[in-house]
Amino acid sequence: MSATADSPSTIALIGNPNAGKTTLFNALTGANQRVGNYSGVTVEVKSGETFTPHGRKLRVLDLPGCYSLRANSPDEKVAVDALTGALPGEKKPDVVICVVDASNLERHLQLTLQVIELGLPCVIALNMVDVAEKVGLRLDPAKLAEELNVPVVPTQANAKKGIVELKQALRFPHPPASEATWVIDPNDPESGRRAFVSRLCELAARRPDAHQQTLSDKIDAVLLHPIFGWISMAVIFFTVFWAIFSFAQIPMSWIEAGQGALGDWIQSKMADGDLRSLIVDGALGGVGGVVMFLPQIILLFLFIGLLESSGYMARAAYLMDGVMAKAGLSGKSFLPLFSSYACAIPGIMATRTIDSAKERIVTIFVAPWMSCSARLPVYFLVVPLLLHEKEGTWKQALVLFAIYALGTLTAFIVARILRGRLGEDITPGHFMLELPPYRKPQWDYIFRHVLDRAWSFVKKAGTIILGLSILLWALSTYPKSTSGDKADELANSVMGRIGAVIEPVVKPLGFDGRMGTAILTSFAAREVFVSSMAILYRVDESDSEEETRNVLRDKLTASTWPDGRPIFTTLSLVSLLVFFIYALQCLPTSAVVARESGSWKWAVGQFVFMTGFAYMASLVVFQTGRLLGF
Amino acid sequence: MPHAHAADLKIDSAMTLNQVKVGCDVQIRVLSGPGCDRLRDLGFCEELQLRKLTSGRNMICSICGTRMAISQELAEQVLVSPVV
Amino acid sequence: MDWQTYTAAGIVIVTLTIFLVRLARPKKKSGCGHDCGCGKPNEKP
Repeated sequence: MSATADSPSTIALIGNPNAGKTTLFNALTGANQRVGNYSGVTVEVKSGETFTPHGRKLRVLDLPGCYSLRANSPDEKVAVDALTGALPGEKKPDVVICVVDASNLERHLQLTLQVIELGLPCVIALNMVDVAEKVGLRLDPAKLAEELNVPVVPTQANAKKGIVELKQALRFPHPPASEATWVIDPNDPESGRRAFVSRLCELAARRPDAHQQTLSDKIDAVLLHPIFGWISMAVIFFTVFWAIFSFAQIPMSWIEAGQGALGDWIQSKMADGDLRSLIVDGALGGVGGVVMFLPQIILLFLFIGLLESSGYMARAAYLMDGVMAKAGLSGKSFLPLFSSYACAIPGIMATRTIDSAKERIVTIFVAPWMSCSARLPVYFLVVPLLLHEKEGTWKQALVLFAIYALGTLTAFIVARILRGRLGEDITPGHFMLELPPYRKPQWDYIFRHVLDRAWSFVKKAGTIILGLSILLWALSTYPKSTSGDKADELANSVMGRIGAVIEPVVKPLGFDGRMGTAILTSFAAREVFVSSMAILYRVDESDSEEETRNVLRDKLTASTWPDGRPIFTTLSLVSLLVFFIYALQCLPTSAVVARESGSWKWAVGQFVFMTGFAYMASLVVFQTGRLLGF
Repeated sequence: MPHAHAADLKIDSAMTLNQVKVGCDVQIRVLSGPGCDRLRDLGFCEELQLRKLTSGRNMICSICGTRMAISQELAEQVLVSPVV
Repeated sequence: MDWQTYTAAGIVIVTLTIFLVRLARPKKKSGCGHDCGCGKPNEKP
């Protein structure tokens, strides 16, 4: 069990949320894990490697933050299990680094003492010494080390200071476990700890003045104000939406133009034939239609990263607690749900910080209705069509906002109903949240994280979506018909036949067979909807030789039913949007739901419910609209 | 330091955290209720001083330099007295 | 039938084979970080 000079030691990082564990982990291992300035970012155990100055390998585990070893929520339990060796596949760590916020020792040391009581060798990383200094705290690391009998290393993880000294403290042989001298009465270890911490802080961390007005306090006076706080939040979030939409326009048009130019060039260089069609219509059209949205994706993750890193998210969770309560949830659910706007998968995993099991399952259930970034290509294709693009961009931002609002509102309503049906918790949870000081965003981490996501998006486009586009092209080309008419060709192909079968099912929703087919394909990946549309509607190009730009929207606007009526009326577009807001079209999400909820029943139930709901909602919207004369 | 007993409490100067006016400094006397373990974990210990920053459905107080938000139910379980 | 038709058909068959092979292989990696187009995967011990 114990490490030797040859085998790598396992080092675990533990500490309160917001103590800077993950920043320290990144600094030690050079990894790139997500850092957010609120509790609840780390919900799994992450591992990485580093080396001591002597060249000995160390395995480092970043544990979720916890306030005590009492394990009140699933993520805290993970941390405790890791320390006690109860985590499957993992022994007890050889050394535990207790990461404490130097400006908060009265509170953070409690956990450290509990870890020492477990009999594990410890090293204390006295983190954020810069903040402590600014606040005027007089720290005495040597005294702290002497009293606790463990090495104490001052660090400033975000500036990578103290890392070498920390690694020195981890050299082999490891420091021995310390004695818990403060536990006088084994039945009441708490008071012993409290007394010890109190004395320790008097000696080694003198606080100058009880409460100073910090810059964070001044900012909070506005951002947490009962009225201005809400106004600021609405302004902040709306600005983010608007920024994502408008800033991305220019790079988007470049990508679109580039795609068109490339398509034209290939068309001029190759003779008409299958391969040319495969390349231009299938591959280029399919992938290009998705890659075009890369600027939006980048901006979305950039803003989320900024909000997280600065510390604003905790304030938003605080403000939203009252609103979430109306949905039967709490402020703790705000974060997982907000993360789901980017991607439901990390959002669902972040629900591990919710201590109420019932609240957790409800949050998981409604998370997919926070429109995720995969829906953006669909929204951005349809919304300008809806508004006849020449309108001002703020209108489109408003429609986008309305789309998100609709999904969110429905989610809250369903959450409330579901929460009511699940009944009361056995042990009621209470709202508690630490509001960390505002920090300057850590730009290098944000950028690396954004680049990560962007690259994943491009990779997905270049692999899965490219592959699916090729297959879709094949399905819409084979079997071939003998006539030269393009419409006939499509009707004769597999896709065309599927479309014919689907059409009666989707016509009440305002869609034709091709749209129905495209929707079917989007269950593989939402972005593929755009690719499918590009392929399925290419037959409507009447004068393709003269077209200099292969713009999908123009083609869609021109397409008609057999009787000449335009397919893409306002109403059918709205119906389409509604469908995409509500449909659950992501198999990886269902897999994570099954894992986090502990059973496939929830995942299947969620899929059936959401997709059925999407169908009904579209139906209601379209038919009601028709009745009203739209 | 001895654990504070209910008997030591000066009843006339004790109140719950909910009743404290915003902006006041108080000292925690006793924690009583089902959430007191959790409160202690967060740092709300006997003898510690704190300042109430906002009130409402959830209140924010500054304790040992940290801003903590807790619900009304939890605040009800924290008995404090004003710091002279 | 010209070379374009053959090549196109060939590409389609290759693509289809790749997909089928991926589907048939037991899913070792799934969830966060792998299937969804998310960022770096969380490493589990």
